Amino acid sequence: MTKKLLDVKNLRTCFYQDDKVIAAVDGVSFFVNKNSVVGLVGESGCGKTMTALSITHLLPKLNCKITGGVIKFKDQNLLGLDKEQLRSMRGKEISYIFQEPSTCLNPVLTLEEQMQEVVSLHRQDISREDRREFIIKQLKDVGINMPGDKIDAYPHQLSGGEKQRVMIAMAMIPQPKLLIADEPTTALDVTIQAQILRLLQNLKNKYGMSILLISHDLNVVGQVADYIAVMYAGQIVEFSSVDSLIKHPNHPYTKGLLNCLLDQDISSGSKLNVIEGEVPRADSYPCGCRFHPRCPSVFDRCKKEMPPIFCLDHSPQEVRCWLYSNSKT
Amino acid sequence: MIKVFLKNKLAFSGLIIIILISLFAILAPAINHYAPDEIDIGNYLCPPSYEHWLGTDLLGRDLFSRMAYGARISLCVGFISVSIVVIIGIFFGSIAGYYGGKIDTLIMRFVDIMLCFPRFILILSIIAMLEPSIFIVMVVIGLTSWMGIARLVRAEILSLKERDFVQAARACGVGDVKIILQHLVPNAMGPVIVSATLGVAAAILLESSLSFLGLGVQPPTPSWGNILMDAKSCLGIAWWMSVFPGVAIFITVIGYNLLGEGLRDLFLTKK
Repeated sequence: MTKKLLDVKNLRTCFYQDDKVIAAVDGVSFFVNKNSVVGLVGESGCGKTMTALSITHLLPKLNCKITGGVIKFKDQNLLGLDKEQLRSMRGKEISYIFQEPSTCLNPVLTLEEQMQEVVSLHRQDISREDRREFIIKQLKDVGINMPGDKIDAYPHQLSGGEKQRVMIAMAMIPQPKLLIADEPTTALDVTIQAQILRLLQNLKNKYGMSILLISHDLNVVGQVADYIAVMYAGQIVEFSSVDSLIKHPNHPYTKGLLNCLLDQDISSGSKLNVIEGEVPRADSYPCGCRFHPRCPSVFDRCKKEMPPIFCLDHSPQEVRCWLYSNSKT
Repeated sequence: MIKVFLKNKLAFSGLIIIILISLFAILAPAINHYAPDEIDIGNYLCPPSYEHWLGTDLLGRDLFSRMAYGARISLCVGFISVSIVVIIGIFFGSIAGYYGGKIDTLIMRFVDIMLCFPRFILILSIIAMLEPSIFIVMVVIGLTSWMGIARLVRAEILSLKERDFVQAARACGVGDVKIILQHLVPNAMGPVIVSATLGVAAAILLESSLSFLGLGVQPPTPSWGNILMDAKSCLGIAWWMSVFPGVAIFITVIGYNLLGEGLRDLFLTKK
């Protein structure tokens, strides 16, 4: 028995566009332990969502394909499953929360109707008569006021925070082992954001599940995650526990991200730090290290060779950077 | 929503017209003291009077009674053929829209082929080959009119299936059939309802034309169309026989068109 619930190795997902093959996810490896939270952080367009969609096979059908790698969930390779097996895995074992709660609920159905559907799919142990009761309990669990009234509401009658809570309640119905939350707080304001994060953490402890939390905001992830994977241009550039990442960031990109966070000394009049430049487009990655055009500590080797992943001493801490080339790969 | 609808006077009057005509049809046995096929040769071609409100026809049958029973037939044909249209249209439209690719091309080219035939001539020739009856009329109208709805539904579903809630449903492990029936089709119903309402008017008109040509509802069963056919032979001497069924068809079609346009304003402009 391993402690790993989800183990992604060398995942490669490509877009096909006008005869061009664009690798949106290029050799991503990370793992999620049982009952832990892993944060996936990176700028927009670096492949966070594509990674998550690859895990659940929800990629756009027409022009997207997983071209390599292994995704092991509970020691079973998800890439080897057929369509039916995958469908029963989705929802039941792995739930997904999307970024925009307001567009993820069907506007013409009441909450009860939408949640009934999930209950009937994944919770055959609950009899037809008990379902309404169960749904009300689920809504109460995620902190919705007056769930008995809200259950008959249509999505447009709810606030943004409530909708996200409903999405979480729906995702929790099958009691999944892994919850993938794709920017669950981006569309919400800061106070609601904190509440939702706390809610996710409570649910994690209550049901003993794991969470893969995707965000562009290190602040958000730092609050709840146990491990953080930093993504840049389709690759994971640093993967380590939260403590060591924040205390000893290794990759120049991680350092840059941490520098960008708001510090107390904002009152001193100093300007906010930024990382110069922008994320390269997926069809025109620079050769060598993909971060080298923006990297403050760039040297010759970075421009020619793609760095492999180096494991540092205080493991598990992995870095994709030539600065650490004396460590073992 | 209902308030907005009530504000639209034209649509509301359309609804009133439809309710009145429906009541006229439903209450046919209660408001008539003559049966629609009660022949009274002595009183043939009586003009409207207290005894016979809308007069009598060539065989002395009460026109009011025949109109009321004819309304049942006409409305029935309208509803049932449109139901067939909606079911077939949603079926093909949603499959084409949801699965896309080759299935989509196949279905939509079939729709194009169907649309190439002049509909009325097609219906005429099919019915001429079969035995004309109410049932055949409804089915044939249904089978030859679904293409518009199929196109509408396909277009709606093409855009709906990219919406996040469909993705979310898929992430919950919901199957294709359930996604189509529970998530996509209800969201596409707005334009379908509008088009179906207008379709009822078209079907009633079509049935009347067919009956007028003798290929629709067969005598002695009354329908507005075949009352008109009878009226043709005595156009000069008995105005009531052609005017009343004509007015009835006109009013009903107007009613459905007004309602349909009202619903269109309600469903399709707000988005």
